[in-house]
Amino acid sequence: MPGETLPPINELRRFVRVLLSRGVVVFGVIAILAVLIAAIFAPIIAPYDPDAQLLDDVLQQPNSRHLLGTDSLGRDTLSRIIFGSRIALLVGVGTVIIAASLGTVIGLIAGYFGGWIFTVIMRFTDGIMAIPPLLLALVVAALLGTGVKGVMIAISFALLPGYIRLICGQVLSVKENEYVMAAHSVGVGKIGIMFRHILPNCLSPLIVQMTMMMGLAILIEASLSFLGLGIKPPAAAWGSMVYDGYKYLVMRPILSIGPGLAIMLVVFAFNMVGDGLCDTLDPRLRGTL
Amino acid sequence: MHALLVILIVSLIVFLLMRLLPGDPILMYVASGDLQSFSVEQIKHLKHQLGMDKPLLVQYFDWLWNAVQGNLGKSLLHRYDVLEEIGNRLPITLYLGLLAFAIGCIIGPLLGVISAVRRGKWLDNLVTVIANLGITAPPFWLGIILIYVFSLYLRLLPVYGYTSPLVDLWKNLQQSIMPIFVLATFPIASAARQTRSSVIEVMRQDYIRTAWAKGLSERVIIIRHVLKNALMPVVTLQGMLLRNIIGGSVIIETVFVIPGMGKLVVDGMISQDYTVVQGVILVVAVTVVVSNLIVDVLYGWLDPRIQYE
Repeated sequence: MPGETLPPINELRRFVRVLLSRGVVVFGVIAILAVLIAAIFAPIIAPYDPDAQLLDDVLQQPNSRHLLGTDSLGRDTLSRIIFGSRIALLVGVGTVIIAASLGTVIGLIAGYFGGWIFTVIMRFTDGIMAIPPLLLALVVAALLGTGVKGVMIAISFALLPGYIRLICGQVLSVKENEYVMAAHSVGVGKIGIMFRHILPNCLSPLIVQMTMMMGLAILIEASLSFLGLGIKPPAAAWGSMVYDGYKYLVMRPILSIGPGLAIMLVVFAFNMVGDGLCDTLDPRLRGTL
Repeated sequence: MHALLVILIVSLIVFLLMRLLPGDPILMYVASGDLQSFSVEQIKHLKHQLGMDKPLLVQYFDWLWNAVQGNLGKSLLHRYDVLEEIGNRLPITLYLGLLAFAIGCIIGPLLGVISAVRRGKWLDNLVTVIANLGITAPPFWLGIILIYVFSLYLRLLPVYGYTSPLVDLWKNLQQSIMPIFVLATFPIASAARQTRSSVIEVMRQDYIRTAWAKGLSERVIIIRHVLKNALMPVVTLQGMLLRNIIGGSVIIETVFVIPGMGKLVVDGMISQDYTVVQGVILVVAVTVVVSNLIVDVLYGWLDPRIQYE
């Protein structure tokens, strides 16, 4: 019946309306969409091939042909920033999906079963959390090799404990609810209870955390690439672009400033959308963030 | 007890990660010396000497036992004593890190309270924008921008380097301002956001309305009733921030060429000097666990209910 489909649509509309009621959130959404479009259509949007070395145009100032100038190998900075959005988004979204999926399953198991399973998982989580995420990602990236895949797994590993803790904490409170007991009493299996009854009620904080962590993942990737232990050149990673530009800071500050601003914009956008989602999903927090 | 268990687990994680890393430590050891003078038998002998032919678990307990006794091994490349080198560099990292942390602890909550009290006004908007930018600015980039503006353009501060405050305090201050500012940016920004959020939350409580109704002044309400309750989540945040500051030193010490622990670990990673990396991460993790313990104690002091649970 058409009447049955109406409430969810209204709910979604209300959700979007509340979410977009703050200017900064709208800015965040637009910025993310813009970066997404730039990443997808990079070959069309970028004026040059990001790896093309125009040897007659080395270290050019910003001009009409190269809006953000060129680097020491004559590569167009704007084109490299546009292509760099692909790595940033891939790492940001990819790592968070990997870490959140694994963290959710492990957190569900720890929280639901409790006892020694909970103790072992949580103590290991505490152990991993004692190592600063950047340091941990640094070591794991060295272990797996410094390609996009290695860096993604490394950052996921560094972010994993946060999700385990979050989901475990949620499960501990949700599993005490009466509907979980009711599901038990009508004979629903453990897996069914965990994934069908408990997990959906842990999703709100998970979605907020995922959005926030995308920004952090991009920051960690950029830091690793800056240190030369992340994604290696000639790939157009923003962090390594900042490092390359650092050598020519006196002559061409734009080489460092440009990609740095791109990192800041994306991280800012994800954080603002995360704040907005937090506001929308938890009305008690509205206006506090 | 819990902290000790966590340290044990960290040591196991660090040890396993290091053993899984590519590159044979023995070959690194040999390569750093005179390569010609080592035969296969000698390498075997060296492996036996260093205990690397033993089962992994035995190696772990050997390493742990040595670590407990204050022996973190020798650098594979430079042959210096790792603990001694950490001892030389830790004070530098702690000096910059703790100053940044202290600044973050004071300025962050202060900005947060001002922002919450003046909610919706221009001051609030300004603090919110600054806090959000502070959270999102990549530290290495911020460092580079500061170097460009204050060192290269205005020529007010030295580009990089580190001098001990005991040797030349003025030079130390000049060299440390930018690294400390960059390290403190994230703590200030996140503490300001957290404080603002929790102060607004607390100000909605009934007891605050009662305090207003009693005719108390704004100052008394904020200091006596709001702050103590609102600072609880901020204290929890501080434990995490200290961890991030130690992590951040990796970046800052590389940008500003400061001979601290962060630089040591990055150099160790690049040159695959794993005994150094292993030692530094263990010391960092122990520092983080101990600081978390302090935060827990502080938490119990701020909220006596926690002690009775």
